[in-house]
Amino acid sequence: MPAGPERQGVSRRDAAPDDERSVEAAFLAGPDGLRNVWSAYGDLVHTFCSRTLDRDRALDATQEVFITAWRRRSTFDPERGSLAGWLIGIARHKVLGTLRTEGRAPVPVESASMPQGSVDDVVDRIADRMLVAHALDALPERTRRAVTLAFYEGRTHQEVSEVLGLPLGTVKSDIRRGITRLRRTLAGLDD
Amino acid sequence: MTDERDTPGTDPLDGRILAAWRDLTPEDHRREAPPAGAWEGIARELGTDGDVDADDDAVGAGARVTPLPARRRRPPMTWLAGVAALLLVGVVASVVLASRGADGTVQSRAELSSEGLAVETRSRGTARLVVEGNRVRLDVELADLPDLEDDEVLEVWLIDPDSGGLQSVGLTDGETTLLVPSAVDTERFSVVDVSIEPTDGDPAHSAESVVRGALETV
Repeated sequence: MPAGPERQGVSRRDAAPDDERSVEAAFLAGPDGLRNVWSAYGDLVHTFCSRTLDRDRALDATQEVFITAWRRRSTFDPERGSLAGWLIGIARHKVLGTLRTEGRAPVPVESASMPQGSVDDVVDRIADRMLVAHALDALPERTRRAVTLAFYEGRTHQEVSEVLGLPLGTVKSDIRRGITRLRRTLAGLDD
Repeated sequence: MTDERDTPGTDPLDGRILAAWRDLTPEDHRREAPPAGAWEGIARELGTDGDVDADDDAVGAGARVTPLPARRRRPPMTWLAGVAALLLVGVVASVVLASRGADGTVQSRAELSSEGLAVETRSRGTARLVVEGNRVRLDVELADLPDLEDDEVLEVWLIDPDSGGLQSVGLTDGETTLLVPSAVDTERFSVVDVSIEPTDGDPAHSAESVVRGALETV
């Protein structure tokens, strides 16, 4: 999925936090980068695979995701989306391939809110939810509160400013940063 | 909902983000670290010198590939021997048939595409069913194929669209001539399918089709 229109000349890559950009830059720069990617996103990928496959196959899939990512790293474009999303996109294909090959349904998660639907739908929803959670967890607290009020609750910037007791300009910057990071995280999933 | 910029609805992704956000559970924030040794398996697979050519279509070429830990399943040697034999048959068949030139009568032709299939790449190709004497062969030509893992192959199938029945015709590297067994009713099995198959010894279709198309009488 192509990235949406950029705002005020800020690219999706520039919108990423410093640590995310440094991992992505290292990944594209040379062979040592994959180790950094593993450190940053190994838990995320393994958890996603563990929620949809049994233990052995989850570990297989996790390893294969990083091997595939390394071999196809020239196709990763940080201007289009996040590395986390791109990796989960690879993991999604690995998981679905495994499930189709073996004719199995995803292993249900413990949560009672496990979405119902086709295997593809279930896996897609888990991917989306984990990436949204990943993006929210990475936001600074103030940014997360601002974007939650504006995006999740649909409040105006002025209302957010009043609720948080912050200047309107600060609130607008926080909201823009938070939403851009959320969008960037999910945008990588479809590349 | 506000009408200000940077609010839900101003980006195609916003609906998905909001839907996922509303469905979030504590489980979605939990992280489970991979077991010890997982990274080492990756490093061994890629070669510790890191000189893997990322753009090499021959996946893993240039890397000192060694097996992942023992837990990782590998195809039995008997299956690999079978693949080798099948490839050899295909090569021999290709050589034999190529030596006859483009003899034979094209009975039907299929335009192959990835349309409607759950595959990352948009591959395409053609398949021609050619009758030559008492032999029937399938000439397959493919383009824009996905990169395969080193434990994956492409397999050509004929499908009966009415029953869903499958007949494997053989393996392809993208341009292959395959002999169709005389026992196969090509009137019934009229859909050509090419799939990515893991070398796991399971003869069943993986459900990972790359291209598909119906044979149309020429």
